[in-house]
Amino acid sequence: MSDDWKSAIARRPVLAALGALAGVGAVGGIVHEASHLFGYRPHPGPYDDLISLLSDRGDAVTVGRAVVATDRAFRLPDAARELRAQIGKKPLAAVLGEDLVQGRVVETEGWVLPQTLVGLCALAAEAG
Amino acid sequence: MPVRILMLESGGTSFDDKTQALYDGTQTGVRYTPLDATRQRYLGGSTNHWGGWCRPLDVTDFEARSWVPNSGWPFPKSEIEPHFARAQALVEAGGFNYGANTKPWRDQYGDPIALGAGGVYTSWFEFSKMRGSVLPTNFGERYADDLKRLPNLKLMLHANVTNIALAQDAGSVDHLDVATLTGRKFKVKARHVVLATGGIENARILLASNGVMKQGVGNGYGLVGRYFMDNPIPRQTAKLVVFGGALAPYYTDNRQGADAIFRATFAPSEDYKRKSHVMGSLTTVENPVDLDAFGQAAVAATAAALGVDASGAKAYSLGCGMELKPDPDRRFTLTDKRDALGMPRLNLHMTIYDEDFALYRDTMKELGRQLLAARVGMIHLDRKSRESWLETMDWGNHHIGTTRMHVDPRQGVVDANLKVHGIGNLFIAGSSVFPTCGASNPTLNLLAVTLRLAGHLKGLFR
Repeated sequence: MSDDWKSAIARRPVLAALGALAGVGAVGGIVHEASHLFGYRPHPGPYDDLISLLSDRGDAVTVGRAVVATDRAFRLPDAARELRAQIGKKPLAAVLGEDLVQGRVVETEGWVLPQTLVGLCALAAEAG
Repeated sequence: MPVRILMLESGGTSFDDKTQALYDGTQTGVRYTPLDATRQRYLGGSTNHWGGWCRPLDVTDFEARSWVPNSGWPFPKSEIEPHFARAQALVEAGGFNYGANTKPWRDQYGDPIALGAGGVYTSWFEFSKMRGSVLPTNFGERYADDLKRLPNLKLMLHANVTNIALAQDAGSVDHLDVATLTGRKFKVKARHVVLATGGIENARILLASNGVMKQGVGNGYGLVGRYFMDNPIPRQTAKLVVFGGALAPYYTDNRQGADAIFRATFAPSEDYKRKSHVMGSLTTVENPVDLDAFGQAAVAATAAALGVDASGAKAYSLGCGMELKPDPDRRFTLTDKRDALGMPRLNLHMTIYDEDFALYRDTMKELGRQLLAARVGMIHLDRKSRESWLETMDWGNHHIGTTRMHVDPRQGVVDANLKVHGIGNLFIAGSSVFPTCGASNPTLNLLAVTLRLAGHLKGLFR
């Protein structure tokens, strides 16, 4: 038997595996998108303008839960109003930069974080 | 005629159990290194086990700081600056650079992390390294031959000063009582006496020498043995996350530069200390560490919000050398127990306060703010409760403050020339005279202060 034959046989399972992986990847991508769309944002919400500033809501929610757990006075509408006033039309990075220049940092679970980011994370966690 | 010097050394030229046991003592309060382990009693003293870390004290360390009770040296840093070059040579730490010119270090190992404007900056340690050894300079081994060669100096080993006998008017030292562990006893009369037995033993000998002054020599105002300071060294105090991952290697380890062995440290600036009323505590980078899920989320959320790529971020644990405030209750007192020479043993009452930790946390928060502002990294503060701080806390074994220096005899044991107030011919050398400790390791600094004393003594003999 020639080496070409061996190569052809050996190629078949490899191609099949690649096809399966591509399929898994596609399905995985759909599931991920679905969980993103349906898990976190089933409907347009009143705080989407703020939450959309955060590139990964999952990470923000993780941080935010720790914030609200220690801040019993946290109220969504009040926090949103303050954040909107603080942020306005400015890019988030610029607002955080102002926080840092002004010394507005907050300690959350030991992490030293910009105050506005902490507020956004808390809002993301409470907004559900 | 040259000045003749007699140097009395308790130990020999190497470690000896019986001599070392003379240091045994008790302690109360916060756990401290056992008193017979925190120092070494033979020629070279505690340079026999030091780590070789060198850094000059800051300008603010010499100032009277409103937020540090009992602070303020009788002279500014500029007074000892002329002596640093000689001190640096004695500890064999290479060029006296300490960040004055970091270009060769940066060229060799890369730039320091770019902190944003603020209170913390990258500062530098340099390291003692004895010629022909990998260890720091051990003064006994390194300089024993030099001492023997000096025609006007006689070195007596195994000779323990057990009493400073004052003249009846208590205005001068009449003689020293000396004893050996083999039972020999003799007296020494000298024109001037310099007590240089370390930051703990200096106080012990003064307190125990109570034949004429019942409270002890130089202790008319009850200051001897008080205000003891050391630099606490809590481990794993915080985590530093570097968004870009890379950190110059001189942050985590000593590095050999062209002029010196050096290592970076995060230090509070002079202005920041004055403005924010923090202490001089220094932060060093220890080891790479992993982050838990919350930490990973915090880093990802923060970096994304700042518009920074943190996909290659790395975390490092931080440690520190803290500066404590002088505390009169942190003190040595004599006990009823006696050592083999009949001298009373010491008890240390050690203190550290929640405020000490809180002030250091303030500085770390400032470092965190600067890292974020520069978009290069962030900080996690690992320790909050007192118990947590104490859990991993070591001590620098830097013995400071027990015979503090002040122009006013009611506030200091020695004056600006290190002469014991009220005693015409008794001087004290070593870090026991420091009124405040700073966070820099004391050896280089106490040498500079002692070289200044040497100049003063030379003047007395002219």
